[in-house]
Amino acid sequence: MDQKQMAKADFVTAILLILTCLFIMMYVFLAFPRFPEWGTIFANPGFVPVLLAFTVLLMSLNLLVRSLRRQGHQIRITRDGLMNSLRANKSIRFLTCLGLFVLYYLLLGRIPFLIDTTLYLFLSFLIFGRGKWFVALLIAVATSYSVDIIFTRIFLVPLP
Amino acid sequence: MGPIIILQELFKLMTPEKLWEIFWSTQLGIIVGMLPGLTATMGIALLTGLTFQWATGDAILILICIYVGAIYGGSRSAILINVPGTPAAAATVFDGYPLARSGRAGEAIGLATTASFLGSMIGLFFLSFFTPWLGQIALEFRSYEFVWLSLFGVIICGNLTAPKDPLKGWISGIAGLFIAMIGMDVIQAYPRFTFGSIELSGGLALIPALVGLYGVPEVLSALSEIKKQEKAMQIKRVIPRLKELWNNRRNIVRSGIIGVIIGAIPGVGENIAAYVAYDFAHRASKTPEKFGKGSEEGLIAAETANNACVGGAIIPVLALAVPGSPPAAVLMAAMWLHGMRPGPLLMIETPNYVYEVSAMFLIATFAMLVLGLCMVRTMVKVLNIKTAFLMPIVFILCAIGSFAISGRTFDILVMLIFGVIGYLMRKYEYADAPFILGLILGDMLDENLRRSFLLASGGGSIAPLFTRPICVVLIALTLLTVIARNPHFKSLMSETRETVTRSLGFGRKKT
Repeated sequence: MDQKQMAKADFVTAILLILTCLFIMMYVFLAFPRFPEWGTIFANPGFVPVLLAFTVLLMSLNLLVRSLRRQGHQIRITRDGLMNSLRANKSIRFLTCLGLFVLYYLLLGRIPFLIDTTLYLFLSFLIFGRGKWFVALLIAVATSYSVDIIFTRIFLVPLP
Repeated sequence: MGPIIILQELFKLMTPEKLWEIFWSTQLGIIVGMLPGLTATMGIALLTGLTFQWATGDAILILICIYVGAIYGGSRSAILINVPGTPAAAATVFDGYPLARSGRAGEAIGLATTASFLGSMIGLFFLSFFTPWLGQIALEFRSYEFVWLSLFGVIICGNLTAPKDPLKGWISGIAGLFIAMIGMDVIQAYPRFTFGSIELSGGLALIPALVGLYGVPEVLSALSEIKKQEKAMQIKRVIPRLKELWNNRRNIVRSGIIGVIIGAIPGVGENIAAYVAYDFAHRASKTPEKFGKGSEEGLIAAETANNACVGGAIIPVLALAVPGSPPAAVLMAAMWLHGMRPGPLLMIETPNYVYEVSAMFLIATFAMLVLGLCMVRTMVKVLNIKTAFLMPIVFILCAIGSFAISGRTFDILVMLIFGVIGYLMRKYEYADAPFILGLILGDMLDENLRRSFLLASGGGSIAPLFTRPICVVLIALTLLTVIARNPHFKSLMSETRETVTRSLGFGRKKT
């Protein structure tokens, strides 16, 4: 990532961090109990989180100012630009990978672990390995069974 | 007394079962370190979950073996395929790969192995004899000191692990401290930021978070970026020549000590140790022009320092409950999970534990030496495994490792969320080490800061927080760490230096 792009990323990150910190501080002030019987407000459960949120807020403001100086606010979001970045090979692979993670997680507990793992591995090998489907299936089945045997019999680990 | 206890502990490890455990786990560590994308932190985090059901001694022994093996293992891929297997081996690439390209791959591996062995031995020396001493000092620590220690740890870690942009390192560290606040607080048992979730009321489990931060981003990067996989080079002679090592004796001792010192600094880690030692070796060398082109000195410096750093990083874990590096942070979390309480009280409750850990470290170091010099040709074949096949399996192991500790599917979700956070942090150059250190030290900061105020409200004063001698030192170090990165301060310092040099009359004459 070049300096220009990083300045833009810093600008967006700083705004997100500032909003998060403000939310945390507001949430603590409004929702946290005061515990007056403990004698000091500094012993309240919200004290340290507010202190930390305030520190990050100051640092984020610094980041924001710095990114503004580097023209980080000049962000133009166009439909074409967005579509192009989504269509980029890296983005597609990233989203596919993430999608497979989420699918694996969502299916855990709903279908047996062995089937879920085999399915995830098969799809991953097929998509990212670009090999023949039956080879991918064979490796996926063999790996899932090996994982199951190694972890349940040797490591005595409960599997999902 | 210490060496005798280490020997006694060492004899206890000399059973066939333990030796088997030591050798397979060290070999596994070497393989984890060798494979680009699998780091020591990730290896330890994974094995923590997987060995959770094992006896404490066995589990910690395995994790130490993985740690030592993985930090060394990174040098293999650095030398053979020009890709550091772990961040710790990043400086090894500079001279390891040129040596391999000149047909001396085996020799480079042999030198890296012996340098790692000697570095580990230097680390072990300091671990065994320095920890009890630091532990005695740590007994003087009260709530006030722990407040500043946790802040200092996060700030210096942010400073050193994000040298280009320390502000991002500090944000990362403070964010880590904040994330540690999630869950029931330790003083009033109030559930903070749980938003009604029962799973969150116990706080975020450390191991799934660490597995997520270190494992998932690697899988995501490896599978989304298409990189050409290099073939490993052929290896001939591996056993190094003693003369070469003897000629580098000063380099080894210097790099080892640098490794230990950097290891003992909270959260900084093996990669920084290797870079600093490499730089020192470069400056001290009689043949600096060889550096980067296949210098044995450079290779030895980097490898000695990164393995010496392992011992150094365990020192603050045992004495202060503050990890010296990200893998040491996971090791500390594993000790907590197994009921050990590293920190100042360790020296009172279980004074021999330091020597027990030292014995484990010593035997792991010998296992690393043996395995590092044998079966090299067979083992480097692992480097030819396709990333597209390896990484999905790594993801499955991450999921199992996260699930294994509490048996909750929710922990896999935590791993996934932290994985995405870790990926974004890497992409936008927020160092992950301070974040992890913050996660570990968050409870320490919260509990001790609030306790300090409670003590003050009960008739005491808050003044000790700022006036106790150790507090003053830690405050000064923290402020200096922050101020030293300020450009105005830097220019002021260089101006002062110039003025002093000129007024004393020993400045360099310009030609």
